[in-house]
Amino acid sequence: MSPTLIPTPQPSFVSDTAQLAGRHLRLMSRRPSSIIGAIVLPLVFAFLFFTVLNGVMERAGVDYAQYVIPAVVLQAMFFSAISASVWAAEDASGGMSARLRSMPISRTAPVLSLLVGELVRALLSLVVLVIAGYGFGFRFERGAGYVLLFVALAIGCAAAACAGYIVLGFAIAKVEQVQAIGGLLYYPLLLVSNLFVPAEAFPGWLQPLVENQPVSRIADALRAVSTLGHEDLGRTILIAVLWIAGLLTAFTFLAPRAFGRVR
Amino acid sequence: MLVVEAEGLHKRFGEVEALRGVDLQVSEGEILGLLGPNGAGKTTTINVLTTLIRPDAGTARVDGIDVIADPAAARGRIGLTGQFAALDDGLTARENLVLFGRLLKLGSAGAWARADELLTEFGLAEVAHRRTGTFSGGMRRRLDLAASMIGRPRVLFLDEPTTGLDPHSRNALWEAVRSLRAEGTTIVLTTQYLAEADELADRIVVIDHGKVIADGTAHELKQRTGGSTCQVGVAESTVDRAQRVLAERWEVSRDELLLTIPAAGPQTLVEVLRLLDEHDVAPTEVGLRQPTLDDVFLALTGRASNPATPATETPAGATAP
Repeated sequence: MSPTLIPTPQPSFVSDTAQLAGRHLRLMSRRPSSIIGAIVLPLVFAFLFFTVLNGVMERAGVDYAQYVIPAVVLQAMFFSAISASVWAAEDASGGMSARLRSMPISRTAPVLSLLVGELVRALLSLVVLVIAGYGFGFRFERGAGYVLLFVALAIGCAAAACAGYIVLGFAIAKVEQVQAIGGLLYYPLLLVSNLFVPAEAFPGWLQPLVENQPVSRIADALRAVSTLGHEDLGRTILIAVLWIAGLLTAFTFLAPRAFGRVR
Repeated sequence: MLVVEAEGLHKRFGEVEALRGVDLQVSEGEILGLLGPNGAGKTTTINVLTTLIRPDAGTARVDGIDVIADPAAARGRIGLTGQFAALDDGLTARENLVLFGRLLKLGSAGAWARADELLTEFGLAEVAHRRTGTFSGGMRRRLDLAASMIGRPRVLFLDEPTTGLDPHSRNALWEAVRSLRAEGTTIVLTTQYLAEADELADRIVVIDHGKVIADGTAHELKQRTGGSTCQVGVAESTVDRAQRVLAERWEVSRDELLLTIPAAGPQTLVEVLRLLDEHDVAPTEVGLRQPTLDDVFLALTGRASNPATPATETPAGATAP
């Protein structure tokens, strides 16, 4: 008596990634904290920053709606990244990573699917924030091509941040520690930047750091492509693209190593 | 036919030598129990055989495939149920199984059909639509076991399948494992519970400090430790007298009020009782005890397999003498 022979399943990069990304999106759609993090929280921040700082900024000659919508978009990209790290740590600390690594599926799919799922979520946050932004007076002042560029830069930033946080999640593999360390990275990166207030508001010695760190550079590019009047448009975009490409390359190199070490 | 063959497996994690030359052979259709205390190297052995880690030295084949040279092919022949359930709490039982079916390229219809088949087989059809986050520990383990069977693996690896389960769930899981064996699946399971190995395994490999220290059926291993023992419990007032009397004829070991004597058979028990009766000792309990795998482990390693946690709590109100 021979058991029913099933042909040895072949790994498929595309199909495996799609299946697992679908899993990730389905799980997120069923977890209230994911929905709050993707939609409610970014809206709350947008509303708070705009109402609190709009008056002050207006007196300082800053069109704050134009200024803050790119900022809260970037912030939402980081919410996706933090979410990615938590899901990675959950997979790694439970048995899911071990099961997936012992199955005849694409080696890349378990990691890449987290990224794909989070980018879909990031796109949703972005759309919600832009729509809300139009209510605050934010406008894309350049053409449709620049709108696409805005989306590409924001999602590119989300990809780089998610990749980094996924490495963190798999490498540490404990949800609480990942959340703590993720927060330690997130707060200085976003608060010591030109996201919510211009670099001139920081003490002189800190300004070079504030101006040159990647989050500020990407924010510069998002503002440049959405608002008229920025000089050196090409150079601003190029710097942001280089940051995104560099970080993405580094984290993409590290991700399989972190995932492969999960026991 | 050998379905699992491992020879000379070595693995070091930093300072720790997890495996120091493990040899393992599992025949087709067999349940092999990999038995050993925490940290003995059981999980590391499983992780090597399921392609999760590469050994520093040694060879391993599963269903004829070299797991080190061709891990991708080996993954098509194995199922793994690890110590932590590989389930998504946010998905229903059926969705969990369908996901793995899709990953194993059964197609949409095929994955659904296989999921329903397994849900029925593992007694989970009624709860197929429930999210696994609401499941009890036993149900989760059974679903996890079902998930590792989706691809009809030639060898199923179970890493401590019943740790933390209540007796009822444990029995249900044992039943599930036995029926898988009856269908022809070869099974390698690790356990620190000697009773579990005794109950399930056709053959037991005892592993300690990264080495195989014994290999045989439960019966053979028990034989190796010598025969059965006769145990007599006596009252505190008579225990010293009883011990003295019995020690004149046998080698007696004493644990509080329990005296243990090597038994040549039921006759020893009769003689012990007669002797105690002659000296006016009334036993509170008597028994002839077959050696357990605990005794086996003690005999092989010189220590207990699962050292009981020392009682550190002092009863309320207790005072020092």
